[in-house]
Amino acid sequence: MLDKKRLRPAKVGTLLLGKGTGVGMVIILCLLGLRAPLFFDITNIMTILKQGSVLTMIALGLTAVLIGGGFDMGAGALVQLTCNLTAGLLIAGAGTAAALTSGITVGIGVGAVNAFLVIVMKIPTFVATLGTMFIMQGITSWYNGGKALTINSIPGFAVLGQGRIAIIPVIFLIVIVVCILMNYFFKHTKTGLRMYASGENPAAARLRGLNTRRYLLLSYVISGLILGFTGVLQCSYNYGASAITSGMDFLIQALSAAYLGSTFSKTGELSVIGTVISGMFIAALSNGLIINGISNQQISGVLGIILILSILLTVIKKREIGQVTIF
Amino acid sequence: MPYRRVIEVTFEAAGAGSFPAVSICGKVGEIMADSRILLECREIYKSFDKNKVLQDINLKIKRGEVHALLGQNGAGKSTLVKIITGVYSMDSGQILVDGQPVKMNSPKDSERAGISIIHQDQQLVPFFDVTRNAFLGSEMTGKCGKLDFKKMRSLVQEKLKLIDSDFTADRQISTLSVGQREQAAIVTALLQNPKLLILDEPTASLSNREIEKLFEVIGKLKEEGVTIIYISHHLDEIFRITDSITVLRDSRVQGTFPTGQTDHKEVVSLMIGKELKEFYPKEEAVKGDVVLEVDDLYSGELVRGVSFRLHSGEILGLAGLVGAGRTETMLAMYGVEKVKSGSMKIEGQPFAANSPLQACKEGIAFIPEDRRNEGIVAQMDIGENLSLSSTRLWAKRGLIDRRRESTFFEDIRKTLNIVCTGKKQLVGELSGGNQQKVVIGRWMVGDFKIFVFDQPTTGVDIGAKTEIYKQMVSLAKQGCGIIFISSENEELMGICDRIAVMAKGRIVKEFDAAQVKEQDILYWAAGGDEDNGGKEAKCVG
Repeated sequence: MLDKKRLRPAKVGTLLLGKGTGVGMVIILCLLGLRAPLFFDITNIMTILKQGSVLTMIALGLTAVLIGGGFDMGAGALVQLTCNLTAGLLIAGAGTAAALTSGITVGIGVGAVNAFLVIVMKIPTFVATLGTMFIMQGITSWYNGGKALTINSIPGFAVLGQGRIAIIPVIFLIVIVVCILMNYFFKHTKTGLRMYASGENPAAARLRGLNTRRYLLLSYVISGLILGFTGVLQCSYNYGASAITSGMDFLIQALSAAYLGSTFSKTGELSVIGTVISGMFIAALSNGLIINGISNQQISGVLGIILILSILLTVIKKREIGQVTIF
Repeated sequence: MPYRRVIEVTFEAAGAGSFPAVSICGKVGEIMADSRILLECREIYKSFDKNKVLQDINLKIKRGEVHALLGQNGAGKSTLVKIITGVYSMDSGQILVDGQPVKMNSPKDSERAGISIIHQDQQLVPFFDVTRNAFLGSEMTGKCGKLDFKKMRSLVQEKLKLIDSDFTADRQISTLSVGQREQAAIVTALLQNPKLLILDEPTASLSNREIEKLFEVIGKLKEEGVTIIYISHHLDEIFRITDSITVLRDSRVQGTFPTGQTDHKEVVSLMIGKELKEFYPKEEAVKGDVVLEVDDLYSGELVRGVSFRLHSGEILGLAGLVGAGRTETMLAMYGVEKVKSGSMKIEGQPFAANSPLQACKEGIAFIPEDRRNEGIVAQMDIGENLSLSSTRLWAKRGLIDRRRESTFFEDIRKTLNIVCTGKKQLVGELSGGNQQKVVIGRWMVGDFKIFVFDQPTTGVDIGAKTEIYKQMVSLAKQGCGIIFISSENEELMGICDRIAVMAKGRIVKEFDAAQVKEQDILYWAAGGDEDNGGKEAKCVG
C-alpha cells in the first residue's frame, strides 16, 4: 500500500521537495563556483564560514523561538543592541567577562519581556516583538549617539570573532558547539521534546497536561540568551558596533535560514542542524554572488526571494500534512 | 503503580474478531458480587448555570465488558465522560473504582485510577514519530536527562504488537492514515496500562475497513482484560461489539441492558422519549411545481450520490447523523464546495453554482449552521448585517442607501420580531435567537425561491425556535421551497412536509412527515438496511 502511494506523481513531487533543498543548494553553489573558481578556494571557504557565523547564530536564536511556537521580529535589533552595549562597555574599560555577562543578561531580559507581552498580556507575537524591536532601536541609537563605536583589538576578546584554530575560525567553532548543544537539548531532552510539541500542536500538548505557556517562555529566554551572546560575538567580529540600529538585514537572512532549514525535513520541521546549514548556505551565496560581480545592494533582493521561497516550501510541506498556517 | 489485570474473569475465546453477544461476566463464581464492578457512578448531578446536564446518574461498568453509552446530542454523554475523566467536577455524587471512592479533581487523578480516554479528534504532533507522541508528557529519561528512546520505542512496539498494528514505533504520524492514527492513540492510552478505556466516537472519521480493524483491536483489548466504554451514535456498531448498553436522555439514565436482551427498537425509543414537547406552528401550504431538482450529486468525501426534488411551498427536512453529508450537500449546491458530478435544476433550468454569489442570484438563500462564524458579523450593527446579502439592492451607484436600509430594517424587525434597541445595535450583543433572526432576516429582502436552513435552532431558546418555525411556514406559504436540516428529528416531524434521511453521503429513505415514526428516522440514519426496515415498517403498519 505504501509503495503504491509513493509511485503516484504527487508523491514523487513531495519526495523531490524533500531532497530538493539539499540538491538545490549544492547545484547553486557549484554554478557559482564554476563561474568564479576562487569561490572554492580553501581560504575563501573559511572566510565564508566566518562571515556566516553571526548570521547563523541569529538564525539559531530565531529557531529556538520558532520551535516553541513564538516569533521574533526583534532578533536583529537585539543583536545590534547588545553589540553596541558590549562595545560601549569595552571602550569604558570593562573586561571581556563583564562584557559577555552583560550582553547575555540583556538578551535574556529582552526575551523575558517578549515572553511577558506574548504570554501574559496576550499580544500577538508579531506585534509584540515588533514593538520591542522599535524600543531596542531607540535605546541603541540613544546609547551610541548615532555614531559607530569602534574598539581597539583586545587580545582575549578579539579571539572570539577574529581568532583561528589552525585554519578554522573560532567563531565558526562556537557556532558548531552551540549547534550541538541545542540539537541535544531539542532532540534528546524531555524539555526540548515538549517545546517542539507545544510549538507544533499546542492543543495536543495541553491534552497531555503540558503547560504550553511555560515552554513558550523558555523558548524566548533561550533565544534571548543566544541573541545576547551573538551581539557580543558581533562586536568582536566587527571591532565594535556599527551605527545601524535596525538589524533588519540580519532578521531577514536569519528567518530565511530558519525556514530554509526546515525544508530539509519531509514535514517542514524546524531543526537546529538545518538552520546551521542554511545559514552557511546564505553566507556562501552572498559571497559567491559578490565574487561573480553582483553588487551588495542587489543581494538584498536575492535574499528576499530566498526568504519567500523557503517560506513557500515550508507552507507546501505543512499543507501536505494538513496544517495550513505556519505562524 | 502498575495495574495488575484481574485474572479471575475468564472469557470465552470465541474466535478472533467475534464478540460474545451475551454478558460475559457470569463466570466469577465465589467472588463477591461487588468485585465484578470496575467503575460505579452514584447519584451524580451536574449543572451549568441553570442548565441541568446530569441528574441522578447511576451507572455500573462491569469488569472486562464493552459498555456502550448511547444518547442523542445533548443527552449528557460527553459531560458524564468528562466527569469520569476528571475534566469537569460534579456538583454531587460519588465515583467508585474497584469499590473504592475516588476523587476526580483532575485528569491526572483519573489516570491514576486506571482510566484512559481516547478523544474523538485525535490530537497528535504530526512530525513526531509514534513513540514521541505516545510518551509526550510522560517521557522516560536515562543518564543526564537524555531521553531513552530505545526503551520507549520497545514499550510502544510491544503495545503495537498487542493490537496487531501494521506500522512500527518509529513511523512519523504524518505518514499514517486516519485509522492508523487512531491506533497510535490507542497505544498511547495503553501505555498507562489502563483498567478502563473510554472510546469517544472512535469511528466518526474512519472508513469501513478501518472500522473493522478497530473492532479487532477492541476484541484484543478485551481479551487482555481491559474494560471499555464505547460511545457512538451508530447502533449497528453498538449491537455488534458491546456487552451492555446504557441509554441517556434528557440528562438522566434511561436504563442499562445486556446487549443480547434488547434490540434497536427498544433502545431507540428510550433515546428519543415519547412526548412532543414543543409547539409547531405548522400550516399547510399549496404545493406547486418542482423548484429544485438535484440528481446524483457527488462532492468531496461526504456527498456520494444525492438526489431529491423540492416543490414550491414545501418544507423538506433533511435528517441524519453528524457526518452524514447533509451540510456538505447544501454547500456543494450553494457553490462553496466543488461538485464532482451530478446535475441540478432550478425551476427546470440547469444550474451549476461556482460561487455563493451566483447561487444567490439564482435564488438560493442559505442560513448556515455555524452562526457565529458564517452567519453574522458580530462587530457590525444590525442594519449593516441585514444588508450584507443584498447591498446590491440597497445601494445606489455603489453607495449604501441608509434610508432604504432603515425601511427594510423596520419591516424585517416587525415580521421576525427581533428584540433589539434599534438598527444601530451591534449584532454581537443580541441573544442567540435574535442573532439567528438577523441571519434569516438578511435573506427576506431578496427575491429567493429556495431557502436552506442548516440547523437554525441550535442554541436558541424555545420562544425563538417557534419564531423561526413560523418564518419557515410563512416562506413556504409565499411559494418558496424550503430545505430544513436538523438533528432534532422531533422538529423535523413537527414542521416538515417530507423528511429525507441521509446516511453515509446519500439519501437512504424518504418519509411523509405526517406519517413517520421517529424510530424509523433514527433507524435509517444509523445505517439501517432495507430488509429490516421493511419488516419494521410492516410491524408498525
